[in-house]
Amino acid sequence: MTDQLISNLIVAAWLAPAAGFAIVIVLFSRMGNDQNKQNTAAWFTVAVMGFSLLCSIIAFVGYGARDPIVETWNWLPIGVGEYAPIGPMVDRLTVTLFVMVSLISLLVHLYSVGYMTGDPKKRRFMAYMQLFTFSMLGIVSANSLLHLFIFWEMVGLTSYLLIGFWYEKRAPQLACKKAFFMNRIGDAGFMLGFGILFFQCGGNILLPINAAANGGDSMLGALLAQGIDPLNPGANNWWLTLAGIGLFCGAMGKSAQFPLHTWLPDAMEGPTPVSSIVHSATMVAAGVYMTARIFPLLTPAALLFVATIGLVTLITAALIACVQTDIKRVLAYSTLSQLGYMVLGLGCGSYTFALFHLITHAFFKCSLFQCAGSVITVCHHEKELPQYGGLLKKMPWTATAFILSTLAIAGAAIPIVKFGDFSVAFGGFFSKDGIIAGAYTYSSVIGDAGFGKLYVWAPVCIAYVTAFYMTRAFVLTFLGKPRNQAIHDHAHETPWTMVVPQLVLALIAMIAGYIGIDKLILETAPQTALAAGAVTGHELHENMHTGYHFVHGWVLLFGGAWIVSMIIGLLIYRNGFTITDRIVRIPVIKQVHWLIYNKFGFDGLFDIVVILLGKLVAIIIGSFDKYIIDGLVNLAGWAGKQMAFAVGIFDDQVIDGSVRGIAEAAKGTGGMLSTTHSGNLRRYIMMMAGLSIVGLFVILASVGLIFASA
Amino acid sequence: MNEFLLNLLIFLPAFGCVGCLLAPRDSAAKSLALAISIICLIINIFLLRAYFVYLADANIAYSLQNGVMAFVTDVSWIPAVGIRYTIGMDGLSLPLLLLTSILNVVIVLASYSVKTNIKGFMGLYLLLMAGMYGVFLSLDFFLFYVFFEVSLLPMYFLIGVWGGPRKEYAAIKFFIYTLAGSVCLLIVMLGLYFLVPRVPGLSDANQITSFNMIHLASDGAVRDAFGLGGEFWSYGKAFFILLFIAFAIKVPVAPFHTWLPDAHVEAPTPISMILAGVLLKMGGYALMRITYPIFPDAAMWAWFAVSLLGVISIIYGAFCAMAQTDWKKLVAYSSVSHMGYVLLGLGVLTVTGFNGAYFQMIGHGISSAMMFYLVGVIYERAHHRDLNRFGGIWNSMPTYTAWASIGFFAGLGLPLLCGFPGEALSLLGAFQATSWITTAADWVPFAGSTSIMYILGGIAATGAILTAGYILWMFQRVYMGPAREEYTYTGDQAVKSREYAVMIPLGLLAIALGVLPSLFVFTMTNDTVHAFFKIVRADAVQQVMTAAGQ
Amino acid sequence: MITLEHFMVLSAIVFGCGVATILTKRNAIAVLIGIELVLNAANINLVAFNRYSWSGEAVSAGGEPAVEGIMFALFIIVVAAAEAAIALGIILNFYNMHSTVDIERANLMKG
Repeated sequence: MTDQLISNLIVAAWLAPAAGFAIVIVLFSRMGNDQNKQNTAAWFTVAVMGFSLLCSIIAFVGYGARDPIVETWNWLPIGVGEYAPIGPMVDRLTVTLFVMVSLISLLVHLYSVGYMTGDPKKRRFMAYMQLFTFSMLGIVSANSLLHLFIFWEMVGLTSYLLIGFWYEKRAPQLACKKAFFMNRIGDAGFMLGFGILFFQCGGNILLPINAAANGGDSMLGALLAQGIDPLNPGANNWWLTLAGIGLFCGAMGKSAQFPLHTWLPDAMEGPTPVSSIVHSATMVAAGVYMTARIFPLLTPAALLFVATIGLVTLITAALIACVQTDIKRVLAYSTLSQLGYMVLGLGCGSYTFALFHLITHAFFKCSLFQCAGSVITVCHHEKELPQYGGLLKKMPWTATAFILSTLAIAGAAIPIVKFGDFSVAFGGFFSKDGIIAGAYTYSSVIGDAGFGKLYVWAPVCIAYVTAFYMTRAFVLTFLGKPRNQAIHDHAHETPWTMVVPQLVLALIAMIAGYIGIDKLILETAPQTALAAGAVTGHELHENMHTGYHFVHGWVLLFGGAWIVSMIIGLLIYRNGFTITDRIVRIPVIKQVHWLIYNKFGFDGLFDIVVILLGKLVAIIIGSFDKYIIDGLVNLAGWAGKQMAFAVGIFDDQVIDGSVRGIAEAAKGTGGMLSTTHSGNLRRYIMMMAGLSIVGLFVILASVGLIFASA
Repeated sequence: MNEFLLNLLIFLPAFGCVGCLLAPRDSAAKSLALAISIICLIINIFLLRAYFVYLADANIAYSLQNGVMAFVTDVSWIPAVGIRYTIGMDGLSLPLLLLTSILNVVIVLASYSVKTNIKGFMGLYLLLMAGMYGVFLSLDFFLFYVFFEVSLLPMYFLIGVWGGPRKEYAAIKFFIYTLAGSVCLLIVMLGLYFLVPRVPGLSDANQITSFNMIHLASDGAVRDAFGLGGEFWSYGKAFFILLFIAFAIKVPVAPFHTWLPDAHVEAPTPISMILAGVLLKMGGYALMRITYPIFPDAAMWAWFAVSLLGVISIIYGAFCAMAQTDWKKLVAYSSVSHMGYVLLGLGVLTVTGFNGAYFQMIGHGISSAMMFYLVGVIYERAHHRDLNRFGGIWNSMPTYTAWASIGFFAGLGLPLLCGFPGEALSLLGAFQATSWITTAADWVPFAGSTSIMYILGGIAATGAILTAGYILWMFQRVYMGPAREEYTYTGDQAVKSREYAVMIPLGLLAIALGVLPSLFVFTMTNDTVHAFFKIVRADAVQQVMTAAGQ
Repeated sequence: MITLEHFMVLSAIVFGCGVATILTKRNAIAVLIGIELVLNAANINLVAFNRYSWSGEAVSAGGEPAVEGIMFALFIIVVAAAEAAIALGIILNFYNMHSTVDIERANLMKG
């Protein structure tokens, strides 16, 4: 296949959902509102996604081994004949993610057809999903930060529309506003970083992709050409760290990293298909993807920042997930925690496995959310775990998908047993393993002090916690006795449109470790990441081997994590909350539980600090504007008016007084003379005649006098 | 022919004004106004084509000094003082002319709902139209001043007669405030009149008239005299400040903005649209056409103050908008915030920023006019604008809300809509300014600083957060929530096709400008804007180098 | 031989009749007739002066015919006609309002 063909396929796959959106919004809206018509539109969007997937797969297969394909379109002029480049860029990572995104999107579309049955706005929902997919594909195919930012914002918008889809209720209104707003906070940082790099790298703002593209056209190339090595920037180039952290702030917003994470659990107010796509292939993936793309530009300080943010998110979110009772919120915090893994992985230089984890996570998390959505649908929109229990028999397929995905997220593997190089494990095991190996390398690099050790042991411990809270969710939902008989009685298996996608996703998550995705990504890894002096000037590649030695040396510790945690989870929760209720009454645990249950008070703190403070400042400035600035203007106006008034009095009495005096005199004279103006015609004529005679007499007399004197 | 068309743009609406006042029936006045606005639009589209033909003509000597001034009419007007009637167009005026003519058509349509004394309304509106075209076309300083005032007077009556409850207050405030700016303009005009003949080494003492803006900007001797180290350098700085204040009031820039919210709130919807859509742009246009080209060194001397005012406007306007409960006032303050990007883009003296400022004017012209109309549609039905009392309009008026979301999200600066390219370019231009600031001579503020633009740009970027804050909060309060009986409009109250005829062209333009920015504006302005900008910078840079050598 | 004085006497008589009519009559029509007499008296004077101011030398012999007086007379005739038309119009309206043409009744212009 030619480069052009592949590029065109990618563009077609990207633009198809946009066309689908336009068609549904413009054309299908003309049709009636009944369910059949809405379903036609829904199936149409599924077909569009099918087309997209087809194009992506062809491009994926046809890509083979080649240099990245970059096209630039003249879009935004920045100087004399210069344009900020946008356009598609296709490399191994792009085609891989295209397949992932369009596949997951297709399955979510399919799921939505079933899930949104009966909703009067189903057609609009499907249209938004199209727009969402379009935006995400736009990010994945971007050749420059500008292009990426355009669709970055579009993802923000569509998530706003989707999370707030049921805007009749108050909670979704607040949730969607919060999501967009938090993303915007990150985007301000993104703009800062983008602006700095835009200036420092000139017009060359192509993303650095790999060795081949690291030439003069890429940002990294531009930096290296100026003699600036991101791995060793020097004190004068502090701006590079600032730019890296700024850009990463954008990722913190999109990928919901601490402290911009609070929107993600709130986003559970959206319809469940939205959650399943937001948490897997689209929005949260965007942040990690972007961080991966700018990875070679990150300085050691920026990398430390990234890793630390990932670490904090990873720990706090996992702990919160253990105590949530809303099934969707458990999954939401689980996503946060997993995203923390990915970001930590990137910060530690474990580029390949962070992205690998992104992909495996996308499949099992999407499946988990779809299962949760199915459960919620059949349980009359009850989301609380205490109301569930014993649904296994009622919904066997959903339960199967759920347990498979749970095993995948827990990193299930059979330890020690190996067939050559071939371990028996779910996808999550491989990816998480890689991240921990990278973290080990990293911790050895940044120093063996206690602080450095945190970067490796915390993820290890959280691996146990992950398996625990997922087991908890599974057990509380599907096993044990029904805790709410009414709900249990009405539960039933969902239609095929909902069951099939979740099973497919779960199966893919199961085998994800064997289809070679990690190898593909490894090929795309930036040379700097591998050759990296990345962190210290050591060969990270070799260090990764040390990391693996570490992981393999402790294989029981890792491989066994899921077994231990799942057994503990099963034991504690098999009878519902009876045991835990007793545990949380123990004094110290009670307080800790309270703290975690309230999310470490962070949501409230954020509301106070950002929202209230923002509104307060707005009110103060608004009042300042109204009373001080406008007051000054009005004062000037008032003073002018008063002065005018004083001048007016002077004018009236003095200047005009004299004028009036003259006028009065004229008026008096006129009044006297007006008596002659009788209105009687004959009198006028008499007057004229008399005056003529007098005049004649005067003339004659004067003539006479003249002659007499002469 | 093309020269004639340019004149027609000014005089046709002026005659139309008389025609409207003499019209036998209200409907005749409406039709006349609509017909004239459509004719002007057609003329402008024709001029667009003619301008490209003109540029392509190999015989046109394209000079950086004069740019390409097409279709110039130049006749003597008041010979005693050298005032001439000089009009012409180039790439700097063409997009604004197009914007004006497009907005005029939709705004005349929007004015159909005016109830009282429609003849007078349409007549004054046509007079305003003549003034606006005149401002964008005139090349003579005095003529510019005349048109600047001509556009002011009808506005006073349009607000004062057809406005809301506090219309007299708002109208007089608007009038006096803007007139105060005009006084500054007048002072500068007189100053130039007396000083320019004394400039040593005028290229052609007979030819240069002190009122021709293009000559003033392109004559090196004038710029040297008013530039750094020149004979009139202190005058140059003073004139720059005066001109800046004159146009900053119009833009408006915080803290000269308080006439704007009142005028907008009290003005009838169509007048708010034209006020935000075109009249504010006259300030930005005049800065680009007059202030910067004539006093490039002073512009460099003042770059930081101008940029800082721009950033303050962005943040300050956004905070003020967030504090409002009156919907129209919120949109009015959003204008202050958005026009701050124009000032930022201008202040940083980079080509990117200049392009951004220009695009922002066009984009804001579309989005703000649309936002005001969207408010007006609801206000006409609900008879109040209290944000806290609305709710559920999305469900009760879905089609209207679809267009509303385009308008408001364009205001939010969302990519692929018209608000984004301008903001992005202004910000990028701000970051780019680091390159010349680091090498600037000592007399330039913050010369040599590498971090100042990162700070300014970073602060300006937070404006995006605040914008999202007030737009989203407003969107939530007005459109979201369950449908309410009181805001459900059907039958007579349903949104009419005439109203969609206003919203849809604006919405489509917003999308088109956002998706293909270069096609719509830059292909026209690129050459001229850059040529123009080189006038500003080439000389200023030379000054920098000279100063550095000293 | 009829001299200029003859014409002037005639003119004076006609003028005197006119003035007397204006002064004595109460009927508006009669006043109008008086005005016409006054005007025509002036006409007679003008034509007469014209005739006698001309030397009588033939044009062919290089004499200049005087026409100024005749022209004035013509203007006066035209003006008189217009004035009569307007006056009659006023009188007609006046009659419609007051059912009389007595000028004593016309005193609304009293200032």
